[in-house]
Amino acid sequence: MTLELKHISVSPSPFPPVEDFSLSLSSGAVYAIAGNEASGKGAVFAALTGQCLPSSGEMLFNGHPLRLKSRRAAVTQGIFPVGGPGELAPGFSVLDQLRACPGVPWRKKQAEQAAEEICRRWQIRLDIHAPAEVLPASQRFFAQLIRGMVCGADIFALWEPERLLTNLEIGKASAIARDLAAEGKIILVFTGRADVALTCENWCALLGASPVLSSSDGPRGGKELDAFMETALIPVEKKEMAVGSVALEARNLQGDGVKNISLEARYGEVTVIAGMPGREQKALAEMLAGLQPLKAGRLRLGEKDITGYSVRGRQLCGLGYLPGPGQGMGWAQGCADRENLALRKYFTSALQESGWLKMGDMGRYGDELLEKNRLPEPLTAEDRLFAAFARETDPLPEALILLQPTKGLSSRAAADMWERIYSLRLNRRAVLVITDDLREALARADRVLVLFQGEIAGEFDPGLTSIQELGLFASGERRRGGEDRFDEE
Amino acid sequence: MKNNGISYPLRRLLSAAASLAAGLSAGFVLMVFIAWKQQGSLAAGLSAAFHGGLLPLLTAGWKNGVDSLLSSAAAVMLLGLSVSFAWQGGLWQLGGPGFFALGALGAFFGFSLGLPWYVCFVFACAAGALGGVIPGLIKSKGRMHEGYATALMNWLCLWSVQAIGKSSPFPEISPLPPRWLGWGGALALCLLLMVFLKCTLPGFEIHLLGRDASVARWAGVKEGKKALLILTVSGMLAGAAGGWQLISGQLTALPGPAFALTGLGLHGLAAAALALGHPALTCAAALLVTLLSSGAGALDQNLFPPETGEGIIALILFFASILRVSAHFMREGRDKA
Repeated sequence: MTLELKHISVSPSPFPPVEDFSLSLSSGAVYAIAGNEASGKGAVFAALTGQCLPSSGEMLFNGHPLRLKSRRAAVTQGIFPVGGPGELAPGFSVLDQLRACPGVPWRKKQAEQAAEEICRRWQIRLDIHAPAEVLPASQRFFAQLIRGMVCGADIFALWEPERLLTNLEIGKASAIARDLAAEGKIILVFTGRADVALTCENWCALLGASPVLSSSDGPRGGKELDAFMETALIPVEKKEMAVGSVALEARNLQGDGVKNISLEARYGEVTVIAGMPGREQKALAEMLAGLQPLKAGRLRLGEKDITGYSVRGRQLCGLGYLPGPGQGMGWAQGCADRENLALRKYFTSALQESGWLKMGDMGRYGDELLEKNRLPEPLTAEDRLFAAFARETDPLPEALILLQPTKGLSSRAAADMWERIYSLRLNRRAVLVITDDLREALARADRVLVLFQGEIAGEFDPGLTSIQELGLFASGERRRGGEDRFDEE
Repeated sequence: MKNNGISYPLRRLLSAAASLAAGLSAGFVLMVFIAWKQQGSLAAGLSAAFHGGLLPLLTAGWKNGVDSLLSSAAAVMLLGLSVSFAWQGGLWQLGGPGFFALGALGAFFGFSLGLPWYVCFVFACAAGALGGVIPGLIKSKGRMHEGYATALMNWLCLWSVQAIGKSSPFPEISPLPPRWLGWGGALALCLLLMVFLKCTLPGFEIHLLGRDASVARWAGVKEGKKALLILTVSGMLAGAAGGWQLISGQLTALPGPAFALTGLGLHGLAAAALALGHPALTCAAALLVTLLSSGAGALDQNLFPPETGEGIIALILFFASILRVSAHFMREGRDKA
């Protein structure tokens, strides 16, 4: 069995394009294509899984040309995508979706037996009768992998497993991938992290065209891959300081996606709430900011009870909220930059009088904000994030909530963002960061809370905790009060 | 604000021109097809469609003078502005004809009481605004989509007004206000709306809601209250259109459900769609739609059925909507990227 991509060029609209990309793989290969956000790996994935057709070049499977017009066509040809967005429809159980795949026995019992056998063989814990939306991210990933196996796929295209799996789970997925390769399958891993690429036998790093670096470059290549991918965390100076009193206190918060959360953010401390990707992170952030209604619970900012306050009321009390790059950044796409910069102030007497906006003052305020933060114009997407941060911290809030503040940023830009966060901490403000990057949470936080399925699964001192332990809590393998099981592991 | 090197206002103009060209081309093809069947040959069909169809469609509206064209366009401008204003706030207002009918009923009521025309016009605006308040409340309190709420209100108003119109004698309207007041007032309202959206606090919040509702919520804009304000103003504008039509003597009976499918209701929507919701462009597009509508009456009656003209306006609306929807999806794709 061979798969050949010969000089393909793909430019699908949502992905950065790739040009003249070639690759040749045969049975038993576990191959990683590594690259950051704009490298073009998404374009190769899209072409291979039938999301778009290459504009030039050809794809050959066992010597026959492949023309994949849809995802279903790719699955029918034996190419199965795993981990991409929207592959498991909400409202249907994993088993129902398994039966909808081409080549899978329609009879419920047969499909169930096939899935259970695979789960037993690789010790995958998965409730195949549960609706897809209630499964944790990692289980959704393994559910997709099982679907591929039951379908009898020959090629598995794994999309960014690091987004959905903890390090321990990545290890498990790698072991399954190696077993599948030993059975003659081809495994292609598309990743944004160098360490994940290096777990595969062969890899290449992509930058818009043919590989710029590959495993054939020898041991030197591995180190260069790390530097090339810029996935290593850049150290940021963090001064020791005494933690102050409680700034933001949430007690028994309940709402859509949040079950029963109590937490505190203290002055002069960066608290990170970490967990696997899921809707509960956004739900919690929006609940704290007043964008989502609370079913139960109390919220205090300093001495004030702000439970019933509106978004603006909370903001005027000193609670800031900044969604990260993947969440819109509080930056309206159709509005001018000056209008966006004034979004936290346009209703104050500084920028309006008797309902009339002071347009000149609005422009001057934007200019000053950009100048003070040394942001050049025109603003790039990255600059906009920093401009949004500047807007949110003018004046300094008592407590600032940040949702995924560094997602999709280069390591340099992420380090810049953390420098800004630490400057808030130096000013004795409380910072609450909600993220799905466990590695970053452990490296940057003063205190880490782990979120699992809408509940706080544990609280950790980052200096005394390993990434594996954090991963166990984030994936639900371990819960608060279940120490014995973890010790056994 | 630029995208692919083309400024946003220019893109608006280009998209309006493209929908107009596409609608007229499709309409011409339709006319050629009709004429070809009747004349027997393609060449004769082409010639007949051009001389008896397209040419009068584009030129006949001018024959009665610019003043007449502008007077006829006043109500279309107001109806278009009503839809455009709602679009500026990100809402779909599909109740224009119903609010128009309510406005006409308001003026009708005023005349029945023997009040002067300007008081009747205020009655018309108030009736239209009242029509807008109801879907506004349903949207803000009941969380129902404004498209459904306004569409349901539309039919409710049209049927009710028709029932009232049948049972009451149509009053004599005199003296008539000056004709220029209609289009002059519509242009003044357009300017007022632009200033409101650009320079005032509630206008800025409406503008923000229309651009990005999630960011508006994040900035603390109260979506429900703004929806109520938008639909009330929108209803008032449509009511003003109905009132003006009655006051200026262009309406000889209260409008009923048939009005929603043909006539001004469709024209207002087409003008707003062509202008992509921009108030000033809406007025220009309303003029163009009125020109086509006047021209539709001059088509060769032996060749083309009377519905052809309205059909072509519907085609223009169709292409304008396609462009609007495709622009929306293109923007979504770009945001995801």
